[in-house]
Amino acid sequence: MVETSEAGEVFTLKRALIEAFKTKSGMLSAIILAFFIIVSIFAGNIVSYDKALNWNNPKAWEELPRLAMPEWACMIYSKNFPRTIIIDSRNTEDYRVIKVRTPVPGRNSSSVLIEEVFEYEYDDFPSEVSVFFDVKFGDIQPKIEVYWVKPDGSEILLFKGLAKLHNFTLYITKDPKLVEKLYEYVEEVYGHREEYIAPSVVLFAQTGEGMHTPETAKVLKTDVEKYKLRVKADLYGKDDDINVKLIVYGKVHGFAGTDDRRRDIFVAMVWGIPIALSFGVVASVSISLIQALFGAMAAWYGGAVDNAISRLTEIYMIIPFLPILIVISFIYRLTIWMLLLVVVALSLFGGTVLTIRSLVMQIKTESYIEAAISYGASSWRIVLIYIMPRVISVIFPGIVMSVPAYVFLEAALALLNLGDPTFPTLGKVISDSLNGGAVYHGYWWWVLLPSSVIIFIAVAFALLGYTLDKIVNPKLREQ
Amino acid sequence: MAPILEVKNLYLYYRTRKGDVKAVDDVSFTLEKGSTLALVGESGCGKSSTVIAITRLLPRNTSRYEGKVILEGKTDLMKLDDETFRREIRWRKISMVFQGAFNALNPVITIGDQVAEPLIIHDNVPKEEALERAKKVLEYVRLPDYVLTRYPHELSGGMKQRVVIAMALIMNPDIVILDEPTSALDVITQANIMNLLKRLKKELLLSYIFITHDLSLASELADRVAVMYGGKLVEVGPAEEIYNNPKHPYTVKLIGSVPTLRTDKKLEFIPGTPPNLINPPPGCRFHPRCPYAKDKCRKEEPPVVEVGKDHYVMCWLNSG
Repeated sequence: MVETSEAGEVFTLKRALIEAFKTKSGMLSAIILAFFIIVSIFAGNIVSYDKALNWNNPKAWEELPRLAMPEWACMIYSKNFPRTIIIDSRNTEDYRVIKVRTPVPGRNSSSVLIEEVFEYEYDDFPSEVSVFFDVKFGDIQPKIEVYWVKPDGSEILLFKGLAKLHNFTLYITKDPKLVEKLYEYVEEVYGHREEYIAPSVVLFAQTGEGMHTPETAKVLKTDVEKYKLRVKADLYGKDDDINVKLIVYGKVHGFAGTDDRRRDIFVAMVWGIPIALSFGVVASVSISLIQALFGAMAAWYGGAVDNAISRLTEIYMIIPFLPILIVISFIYRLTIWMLLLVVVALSLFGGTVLTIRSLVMQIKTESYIEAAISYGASSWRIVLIYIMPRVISVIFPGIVMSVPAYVFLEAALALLNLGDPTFPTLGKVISDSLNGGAVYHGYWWWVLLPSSVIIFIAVAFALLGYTLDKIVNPKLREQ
Repeated sequence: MAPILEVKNLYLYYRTRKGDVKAVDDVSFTLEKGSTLALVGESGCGKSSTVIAITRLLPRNTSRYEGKVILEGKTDLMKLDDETFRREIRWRKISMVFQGAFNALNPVITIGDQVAEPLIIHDNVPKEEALERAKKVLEYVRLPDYVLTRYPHELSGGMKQRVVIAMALIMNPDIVILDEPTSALDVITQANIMNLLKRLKKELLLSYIFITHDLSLASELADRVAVMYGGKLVEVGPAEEIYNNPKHPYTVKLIGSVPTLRTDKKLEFIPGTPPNLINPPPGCRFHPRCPYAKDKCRKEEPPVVEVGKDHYVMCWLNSG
């Protein structure tokens, strides 16, 4: 009694999808898509939303190294790159912190000694060293001395002076005044002044000839003796206090590295996926459905409605989409959701209207439509319940395949600096990487990781789309 | 008692580029409650157009649509506006079984949902209840429960035809129009469906308008037979009379062309082609193919005369 399925039968969406996921390419795309969907759902658990919101806030990223590679780069280069070391004297649990306060008898003043001791066993020099001060004082500014002690016993005076602010930072390897101390140290060891030194190398190199540049210096690793940052302070008030946070910035960070503003690229990748997916899917689905509905209405109602819709479609089709979009984004600086709205508004009428119009012209002569009219179904019911399901199974492969087009559109607008400036999207990271000269300087992770996410999204949807097309469109079936 | 449906002077013309197609031209007949009227004739004679005119499934290019269609002696259906007609008449009073059940079912909607559709549309019945009633109607046409969740392509031709009949019955209509309900079925299935239709008619007191080109099939079900030719009704009468004592030469030829099993009868055919309905022949429309055509037939349209009880013929041969 049951007829076997044959070419030319009408597929429901569900059956088409089930068929598609049975093929190899369909399965592959299902796996990739499932991965992206899981990431999208749990994006908040992987990386907190605040981090993405603070994308443009430099304060939020100050503890991260600049332009660090992903941690797995250690395996590629088979070299143990330095991780970032953070030691904060406020954290009294930390065994690396020694803080001694000696009150001067009979007075309110006291002297404080803070030592932050750490091991260093990496194969490369750190990228930067900074010391963050948090000083509480009354009328009299405390006197501060900062020393760098290497495991071989050499001691460098990095800073000596008054704390003028409550919060300030010594950029030891960047601030010219502080770097000058290192020049003096090298001069002391060499007996002459070097023209150029690499500050972070000097701090971590074996003392002796060639310690001023990374090419000639050797990393001084710790065994028994450790590196020490020693801070001596004379405080003059009863409630005065001083705390020090040392950050030795590494050269690798996290899964995806960082960019030139210390931002974690992984954050942008994790939050870029749900945004790219929803942008692509929402744009593609709503544009196709709206156009299909207009096409169906044109064919169903005919006459003036048909004329109006067909002419509007012709007008829309000659409007240059991208230039207008660029002008709008340039003038209004759209957020990504406004951009989505504009993209949809600019695509209300288009090629799908014409395709579906001719398809529905054919469907409406079918006798089941005539039957529906005869048992009293209203026009809307016929269009929505009888015609649209037929139409959707036809446009579905197209919907799936055009998702990547909209993902790329967002990325392309970001590349033109017309994307959402407030939130990290994949396109924005790629755009930043190009502006930051990533390709020129070889910061490969900055370009490759976000682009590969976009490419995987595109591949997954394209594979699924082609597979569905083969199933729904019998002409494409293999003989 | 007034007849359940009375059609008076019905016209339906279609506009084409070459001129108006006079598909239904001054057709009148009556349908009694609980009886079957068979509308027979060759392809293109206006059978289906008559039904289109009664059920108002008018195409966009309709150019002339007039006459009276009186339901139960009271309501003139032609005077109702489209919305009232849709709400009050469609499927509540008059339902229809379409030609080619294969195409009359939506391929992407399950059988249950489809049979229940009229209920949901007209009475706003909740879906579960509608499906429950669909199940009952399907039982009535002897279909098992499981078809409710099947799609049309999973059923055989006979099953689909039963589904379409069930769908026509779900709102308890008075009149069911059967538009060639068995034309695409094999003879066994055809016999099954015909028996089903007979049983339903008796049990539910239905009135049928049965459209077919097959006279032998019509004789199975019909109480009265109306023969159409070229957009006109040429002979109407009780089935017995039409089969045993046909008066119009066209009816005679039509009966003569029905094959019988294992007899040595030479099958007759009617020479010539069906008339062009844009420019129908003057006088009697059958005269170019009629062996008895006289001069008068070529010039004047014959009147309708009563030749027996309730037996009307439109032919000069029967009116002097």
